[in-house]
Amino acid sequence: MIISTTAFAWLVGVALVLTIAAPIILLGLLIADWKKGRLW
Amino acid sequence: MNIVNTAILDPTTGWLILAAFSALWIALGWYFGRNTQQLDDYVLAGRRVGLALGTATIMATWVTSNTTMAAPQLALQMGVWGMIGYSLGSVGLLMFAPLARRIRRLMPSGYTSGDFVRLRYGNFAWRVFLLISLFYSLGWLVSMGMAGGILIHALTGIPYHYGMTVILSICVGYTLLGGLRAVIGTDFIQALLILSGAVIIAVLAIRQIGLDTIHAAVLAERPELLNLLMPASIMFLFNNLLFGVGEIFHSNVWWSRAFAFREGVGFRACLLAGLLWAPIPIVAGFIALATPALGLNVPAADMVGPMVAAQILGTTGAVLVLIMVFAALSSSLDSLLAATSILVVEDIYRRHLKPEATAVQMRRATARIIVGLGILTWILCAPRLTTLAELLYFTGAFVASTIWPVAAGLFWRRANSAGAIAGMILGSAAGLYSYFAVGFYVAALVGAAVSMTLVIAASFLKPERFDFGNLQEIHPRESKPVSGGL
Amino acid sequence: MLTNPALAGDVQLESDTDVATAGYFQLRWIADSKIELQESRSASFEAVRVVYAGSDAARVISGKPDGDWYYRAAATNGDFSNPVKVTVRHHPVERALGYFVVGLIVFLTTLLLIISGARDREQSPAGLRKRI
Repeated sequence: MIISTTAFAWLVGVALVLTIAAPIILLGLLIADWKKGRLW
Repeated sequence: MNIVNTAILDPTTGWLILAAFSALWIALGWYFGRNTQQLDDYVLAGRRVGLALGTATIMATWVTSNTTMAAPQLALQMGVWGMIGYSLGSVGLLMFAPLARRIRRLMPSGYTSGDFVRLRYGNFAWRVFLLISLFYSLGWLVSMGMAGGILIHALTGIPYHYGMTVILSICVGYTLLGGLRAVIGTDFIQALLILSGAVIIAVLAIRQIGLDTIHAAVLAERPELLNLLMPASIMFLFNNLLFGVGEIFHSNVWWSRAFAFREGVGFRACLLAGLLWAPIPIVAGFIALATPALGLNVPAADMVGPMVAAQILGTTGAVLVLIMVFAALSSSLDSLLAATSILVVEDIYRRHLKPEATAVQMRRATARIIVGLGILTWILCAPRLTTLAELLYFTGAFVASTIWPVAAGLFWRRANSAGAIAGMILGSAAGLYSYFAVGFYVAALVGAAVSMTLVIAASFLKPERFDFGNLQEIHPRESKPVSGGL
Repeated sequence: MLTNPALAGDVQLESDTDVATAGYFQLRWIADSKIELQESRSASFEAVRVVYAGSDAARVISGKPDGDWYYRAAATNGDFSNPVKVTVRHHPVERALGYFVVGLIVFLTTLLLIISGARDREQSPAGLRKRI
């Protein structure tokens, strides 16, 4: 059962979007922690 | 095995990049490591790490060179399910979230996973567990060291032994300087580098070749890679999931973070890190499937990632990959060095050799052991014995056999030592047998299944009634003991 | 197979496995010149497909369906290497699904253990019970 071109594109596309969001989320959390003085 | 005759970068560029980042990590290691004279500051970053740094360190540590190099390798060998199966390694992180919370709560002054097994199951189980844990740690260290040498050679032509030596020395250097704070601080930056690198390479690959072209070319040349019913890949799925769970549940790399995080952080950090990590093997892995579309020859499976990136993106791509994988390697190596050294110091040095060791002595011993581990790793990396994925999966049988002893030990009062010991020993044996009899892609699954059965059986045959309050222990003394109490 | 004495210019080909249960294997060769790697479904190399041409010394073949695959390397001077046969025999799908089911059971049971253990106040040590 060969994966379709569309499914393949979706798989990679969704993964890519999540990976693009990741650094933004991490930086946001860092700033929030820093402001609260709860970095480490 | 120097079978690559065409490296994209020249050695000089390679050396420059390595030197620049090495200087950066060492400088940061020194900076973050100020005020880490106290044992708990050095080995557990003061036990107050917050959510942002906590999430980033977990994510970055779990992104190893394996994620960036073995994921493409598995995509090339096992196809689509190979890639997705690799992503299932995130389940270990997700499932560890409740464990991290419970560990912090039950053992607020704990240092290692070894401490837990000793207190929960007694000395024999503890020693079996230590054997497995140290074997795995060494295996992971060696796979990182080897990956460094292989990657640098593939991209720049710099000989394997030089690249391997540089990476090991730099990581030992800054971990030594700053302890777990240096590790966690640099991990945050390394996390950003890893994510950015993966995104840039993937986006450029898609723009240059196109997903449809990739799909069509693979279908023509390597059709089974797109087969969702490819038997070996299906067998691989839960094997990889359980392997990841086993790695995370038992390893002091994750337990040390559970101890190092501020209370309340562990659960969310693990969940978030798991979710952020999950797509990375797919983003990194799918480029291996571009080899038919590119008409690229892959001499050895563990080189496919960097080779494809370099082919698609030329010099820029090669530089990106070098930076990204250097970051991935460093962020895992530093964690491993720190966590393994405290495991050795607490569970071997203090508990076996010097029970009266003070915190100061333990801190000093930790530093020495970090160096010692670096040297040992170097010696084991030098002969370059096997491909990366296989080396790591060899440990799969062993670590997966610890899942139930650890999880049941934490959550189930009736779990007893006999079950834990039998689970670890027989689970490992069964897994090891299936590694050779069937393939590397079933060893962890078999180990986990056998171990689980034994732990459950023993817990019903002779249920224990463990008091979890027994897991609390006191700190080592700050200075030489005076006669009498603390 | 190897009836020729080893001469300078001889090409030697080998595979890392004779039977490939996951459809992948690595071919390695030793040659003085660039080579052309040829693949055929028949031992007599009737219909030949050129899989690779260049100066590398190895190639990873993967994604192959079941069957016998024959390979030989041709040097630029026309010499052929020893032929190599690799049998691709994927694991039976039933076996694969069997492992899948076992894995699923282990995973779900572990999940159950953790979820129920995390919720169950019985599992808390006496001193912490008030806090949880």
